[in-house]
Amino acid sequence: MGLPGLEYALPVFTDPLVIGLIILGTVAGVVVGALPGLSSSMAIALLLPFSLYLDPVPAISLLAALYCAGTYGGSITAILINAPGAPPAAATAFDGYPMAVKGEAGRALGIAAIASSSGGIFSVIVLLFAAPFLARIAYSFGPPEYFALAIFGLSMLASISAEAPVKNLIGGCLGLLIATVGVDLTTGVERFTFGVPELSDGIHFIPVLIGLFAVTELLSQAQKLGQEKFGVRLSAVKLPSLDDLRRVKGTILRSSVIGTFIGVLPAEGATMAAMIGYNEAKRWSDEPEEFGKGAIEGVAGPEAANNAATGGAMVPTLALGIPGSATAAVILGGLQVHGLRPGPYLFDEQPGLLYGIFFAMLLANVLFLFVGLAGAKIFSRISLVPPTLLWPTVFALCFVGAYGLEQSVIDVWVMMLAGLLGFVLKRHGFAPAPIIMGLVLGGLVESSLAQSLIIFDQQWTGFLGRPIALVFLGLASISVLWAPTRAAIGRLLPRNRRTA
Amino acid sequence: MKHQDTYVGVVLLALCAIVYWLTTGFPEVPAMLSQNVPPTFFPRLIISLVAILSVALIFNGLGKSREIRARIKPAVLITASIIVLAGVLVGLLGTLLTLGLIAIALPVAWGERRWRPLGILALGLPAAIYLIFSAALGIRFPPGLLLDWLL
Amino acid sequence: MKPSQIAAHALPALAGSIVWLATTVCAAQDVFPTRPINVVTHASPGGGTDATARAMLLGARSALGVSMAVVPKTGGSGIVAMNYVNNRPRDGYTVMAITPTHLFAIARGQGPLTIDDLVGVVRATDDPLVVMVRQDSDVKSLNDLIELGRRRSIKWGSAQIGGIDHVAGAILAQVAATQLSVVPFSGGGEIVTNLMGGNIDAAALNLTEALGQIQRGDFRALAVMAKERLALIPDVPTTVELGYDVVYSTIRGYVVLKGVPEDRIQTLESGMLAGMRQEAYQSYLRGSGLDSSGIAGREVWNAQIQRLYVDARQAMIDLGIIEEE
Repeated sequence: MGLPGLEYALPVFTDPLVIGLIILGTVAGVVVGALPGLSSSMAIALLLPFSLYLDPVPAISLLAALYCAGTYGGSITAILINAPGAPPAAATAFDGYPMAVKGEAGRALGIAAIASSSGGIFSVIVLLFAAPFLARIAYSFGPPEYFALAIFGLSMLASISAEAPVKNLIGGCLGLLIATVGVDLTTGVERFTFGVPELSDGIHFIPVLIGLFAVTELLSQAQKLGQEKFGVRLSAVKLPSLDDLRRVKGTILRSSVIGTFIGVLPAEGATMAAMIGYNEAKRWSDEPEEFGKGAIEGVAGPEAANNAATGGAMVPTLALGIPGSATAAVILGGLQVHGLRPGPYLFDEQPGLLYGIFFAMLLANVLFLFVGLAGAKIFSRISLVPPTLLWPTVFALCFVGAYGLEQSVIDVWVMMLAGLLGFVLKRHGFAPAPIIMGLVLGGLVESSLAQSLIIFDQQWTGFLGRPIALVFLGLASISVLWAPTRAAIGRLLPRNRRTA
Repeated sequence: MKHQDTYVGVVLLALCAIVYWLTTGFPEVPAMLSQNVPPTFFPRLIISLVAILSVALIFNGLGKSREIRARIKPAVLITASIIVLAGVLVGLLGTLLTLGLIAIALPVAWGERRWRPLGILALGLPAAIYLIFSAALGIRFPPGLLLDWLL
Repeated sequence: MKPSQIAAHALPALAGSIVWLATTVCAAQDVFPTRPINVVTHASPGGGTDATARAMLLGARSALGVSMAVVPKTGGSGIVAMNYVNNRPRDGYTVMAITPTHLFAIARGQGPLTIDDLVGVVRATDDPLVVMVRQDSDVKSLNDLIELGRRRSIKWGSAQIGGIDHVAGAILAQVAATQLSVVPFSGGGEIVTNLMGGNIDAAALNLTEALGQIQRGDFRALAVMAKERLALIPDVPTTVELGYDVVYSTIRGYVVLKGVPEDRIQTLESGMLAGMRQEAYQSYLRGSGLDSSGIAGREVWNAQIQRLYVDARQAMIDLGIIEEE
């Protein structure tokens, strides 16, 4: 197979300094990604000054490796303690944490590592062949298309758990409403800020995420105290079997394609990719009712998608000079500090640099698979720590994580309130996932709708003239109607294999 | 007794009313800044959606009888209080001291009585967090009024 | 030991430590800086202001001999950052990055500061706005664009409501008697994509943000919103040449708040200037298509802040956002 740019890869794979930096970046990325509130974009920003002493290829390799591994790292805490280390890992917690509770932490961690690595490698290979071409996709997505895509993303709320569609939709709307706090993009007016200056930037996603997942779980654990006898579950350190891999390979491939595509779009990131990856994994599963209770496809789907999105996000960053994600934005800054101007002509002028970065990312994706698999056995022991010691530690991490994001105490309060609210909501049958999705997509839904309406001179019919938008709106309708239709068909056709 | 969903729906409706009232307090937008999409447009759209869904929830609940749920245990309330107290204390004692206190208070509230792991957690947790977050990553924690006053 | 004896031993020790504390505090006042310096920005990581600040810090760190960090306080056209800085002690350890966007916010009466609170330290970049359209657009000149706006409103991409590119477009529309609808995006990158995709008609971008597209022939630069042409695009006329006195530039610089001791401002000025003379900053400027003409000391910068503020107020009055006093 003739990989393009292979001649540029040799210096990467043979330079001990570059290899060392990639290993360093990978390990640091896994750690930083796993800790809630520490993001890979922050770590990269911190490393930027040091990378200046290096040549561009080693420097950017270090940053890119950190980026790839950081996206994987988020899954570790999502699985073990229900506190996603980074937003893209939120969807991983939906099924990863239930698996850990069932005593399958090692299996979940292993699948996450394999899916992440596969997704990442897939997207880098696509990047190698088609970056300049893919970059053009970014141009065909304007506000109407993003609005339609976001609606498509939200349409999964109806199907995320079949038991309570009304409550899911209410949860999603609450998320959308929380997303309106802060300065309105269209008019610059402050909304729901109650005179608190820190709120003018909006309610941050990570504190809400940590609160709804981890603090709510802390309270649920308090409720369960003494009910469950704590025992050592040795199966917790078991890694996934070959059979598991066969089961998730379709999911991984599907999510890799989704993730790469979503990653290429500048306004979308790994979080949205993971959400859609999760939803599609569920939609195509033979046992969608297992999702949310610890289905391995529910871990593989989002993890393959979010790491595929890292490769995708590098496409517009390098080929257009338009960052595909927050972390890619900081890497872009790193290129600029080295006096490089990313853009359409970087491919012609600096092929060595570009292909060096691609192969560094490839290497990082392979490396964290080993780190992840070796680490899975060690990390999974965390689920064996007695809850009376584990959960206080988790709360301390949440506390620091919420604070560390913007170094603001308001975020700590947001985290706590989200946790208390999450507990009450959970008692009444509201899942955290729809709220998170609403919050993730809220800003995009509102701003793209407002932008579209301004572009269309306030005529909603303007959407009719946008074919890509129409396709996504159509898919959204199918998505909403899919679950009821499927259920109806299921009632009509008796399925024997389910009863076995 | 009706199903709890009925009451949840009523609470949500009341919430919608409050949030709607809040939107009426948004500042007037100067002509140049308004592009015919007022700041109230999107929140009100969502509030209407929640209101409609809440009504559906109320009717849903009317058809069912009350669901039996386990009572909220005192441990949950104590845990919640410790969480809130931590938020209050952090401004006073600073992050690391507060975290050390949490590391003792939470396990004790949860029935942990082995003093050695408790001691290790109370000292080790703030130390580890300081090393990872402050020393290595340069995040500065608020020192708290106490430390400010001592120095 | 009796309690009185303890007191007898403890008191001198206590007094001694107080004296020691007092002398160290005094020493700290003489020697500046001894602690890390924070540079507060209003932009999220990766934006122009953030990148400029980080590039400057790389050199200034060694010049000032202490570590320096960027503290992003994003949101509300710089109001969040201004609130934060206003709550910090005015001891020179907190420096704020400002752009004309901050001045517009102050002119609108938003935020806790007045113009007299700002004391300029150094200017870092001077990045004029360039009005541009897509290459295949029917609009070939600024006059074409103005004509278009008289038939239907121009869809004008802008990064921040009330920010510089918004005000620049609105003032241009007013001076040229044409119609403009502002489509708000969240940053320059998004505007580039949407201009490329044909979702908006025109935008005023920094040369930094779209130089690649202009050189490659994707965008057509119609006019530079400055008095003089730019070296990198010498064929593009200025707005002033075309008869519209609409001059806007993204000027990024650093300020401290009034009350910081004079000698500390001086130290900061020389340290940051030294930082910007170093290779890291210079190569950042080159990579961004800028030159070092944007760098200036505090005398030039302070005078400019005052001029910019007067202009900002006038723009707000012209646009009917604030009333003339």
